Formats: sequence, structure tokens, C-alpha cells
Amino acid sequence: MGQAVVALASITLDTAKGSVTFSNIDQSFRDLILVVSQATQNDPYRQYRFRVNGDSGANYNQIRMYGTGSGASSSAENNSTEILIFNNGAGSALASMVTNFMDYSVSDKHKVLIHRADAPDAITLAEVARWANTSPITSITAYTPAGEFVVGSTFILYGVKA
Amino acid sequence: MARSKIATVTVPSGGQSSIVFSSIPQNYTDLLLVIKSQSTISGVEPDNIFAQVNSITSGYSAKLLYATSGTINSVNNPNNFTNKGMVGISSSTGSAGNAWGVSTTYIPNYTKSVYKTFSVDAAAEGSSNNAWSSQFAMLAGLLSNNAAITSLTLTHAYGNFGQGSTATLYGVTAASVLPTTITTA
Repeated sequence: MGQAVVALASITLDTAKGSVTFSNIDQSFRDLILVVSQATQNDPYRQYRFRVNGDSGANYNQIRMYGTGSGASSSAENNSTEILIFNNGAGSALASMVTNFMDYSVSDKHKVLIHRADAPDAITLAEVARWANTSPITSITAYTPAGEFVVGSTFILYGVKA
Repeated sequence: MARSKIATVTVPSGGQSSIVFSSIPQNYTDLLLVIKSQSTISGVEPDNIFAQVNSITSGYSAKLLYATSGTINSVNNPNNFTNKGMVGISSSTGSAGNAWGVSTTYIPNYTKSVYKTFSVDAAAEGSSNNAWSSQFAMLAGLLSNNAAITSLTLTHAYGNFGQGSTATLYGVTAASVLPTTITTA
């Protein structure tokens, strides 16, 4: 019996970089899981964002809840041009992020993303987002709009079999 | 992710104060800890579970978000512990004996020479058989230490692990693909 979850691609940065892209994603799985361990530099807002299939249109809705140690809150954006996860890791405190892309390879439904992010010096966060497009997801780009992901940041993409 | 069970510990009759995973293999990428548990303490609903990494007793910090009794709150360093890190919550062995806490902790890059991040999700029903005494929690934990994780020792803030509590440690590997190292800006 084969494994239910298979590693598809792994990226490790040995130079600081503003974005990372997984392209030509294998379409033979049911879901995708992106596991990231990273921090940003030169960005005071420590932003982490991503888009799918290079779509920069106003096609993303998202809602999140989060705690900062001094308070709990929630926020949401409709018709955004990207999926926003804020407060990356910084310095030596890498952020741990796990994103599930549900039914990414189907062509009859919008795509739902379920996300957990933990930057231990800043925030614990859970978020759900919808990409308002029925196209299968063939590429994922994670980026920080200012600054770069630091050396040593890792991005691993897994496929989940049906 | 490609996942293999490293070990499972099941608490026997009479309970025990701690659960230990030692000599953790170093050939995986990440660790996943899954706990299903009760605490023997009464009057504490629920009881937080903590992990000590190796013999490290300092450098632990955390941001906790939790919901209980119709409220939601966020605090730093639950129980004010900085000598170990929170990894879950347990129901009590009290009046609602069928209630169990369920907790998962994901630890990426546990063998690398980097600070260790703990991503925790947990839920537990309180012992009074009342949903309002239950709790849901999310936690971002940090161990400011570069040592590879070779052992984990689990204890409660107050009680012991009750009979039937289980903790399973999994190794997660991305070794099936060669990493692509990006060297250009």
C-alpha cells in the first residue's frame, strides 16, 4: 500500500529571496499541503502572502482569528488581490506555517485554503481563504511584498492522495 | 506528508506523572506529536500539558489563543512556565470520565541548528460534563535553542496522566524529493 501523503518538491534558500514559486504542480492528487519554516528581513510588517496560478486579480476572500499574547482578534478581506498572512517569523524565531489546499486539482469548484501560522514572538493564527476560480491550481507563489525570506527558510509541498 | 510512527506510549492503570520519548531518531525532517489524554487533577478544567526538550530548562516562550466559557483570550507563556513548552491540554478524569483532550504539535526542522518552533492545536472537554468548561486552544511556541531534539518529556501543569492516555510521536519526511536550493535573487 503506497503512502497517502507524498512529498512533491522542496525549496531551501541559501540566499535571501523575495518570493518562492512551485510551478507545474502534479495534478494527480486530491489536496496539497505546503509546510513552511521561514522568517523575513527588511520588512517591518513581516508580511507573508501568496497567490495561485499567478492570479493578481481581486479573486481572494479570507477570514482569520489570531492571538498576540496581549489580545485575541479576527479580521477579514473580500475581493483581495492576494492571500495575506501577516507577522512572519523574524530573526531567529522562524515562523511555522501549514497550508492545506483542498481539492486543488478539480475544475468544478472554487478552491478553499485552510491555514495555520505560528510566529512565536508575535502571533498564533488560523485562517481560511477562497480563491474564486474553478481552475485547478498549477502554481503557488509565496512572497513577501517588502524585504526577503531569510537564508535557511524552507518550503515543502506535499500531495495528498484521494 | 510521508509520515512514520516513531513510538506510542499508553498510560497504564494507576496513571503516571510523565510520558517520555527518548533517543528520537534524527533521520526525519519534522516531528508530529499527537496526544489523547486525561489529567488526574480535579478542579482544573482543563490541565495544560508541557514538554521539556532534551534537558533544556530555559528559553521557552509562547503565544496562546484559547476559547472557553464563552470567552476568547490570548496570553503569553501559559502557566507562566518558561522552563518547558506547552504542547496540549487534557480533560480531567473526574465526573465526565468519557471526555478526553486531543492535542497535536508540529515541530519543523527538529534536527537543524535553528530555534525550534512548536505549532499546537488542542481541544478538551471539561470534567463537569458541561460544554462551557471546555476549551479550544492554538499556540505558537518557541524554544530559543539550536540543539537538535533527541528527547521529549511530557508532564501536566498540575496532575498526572490518567489511565488510557496515549501519546504518539511521528516522524515526517520530505526525503523523497531532493531539495532545490535557490541561489539567485
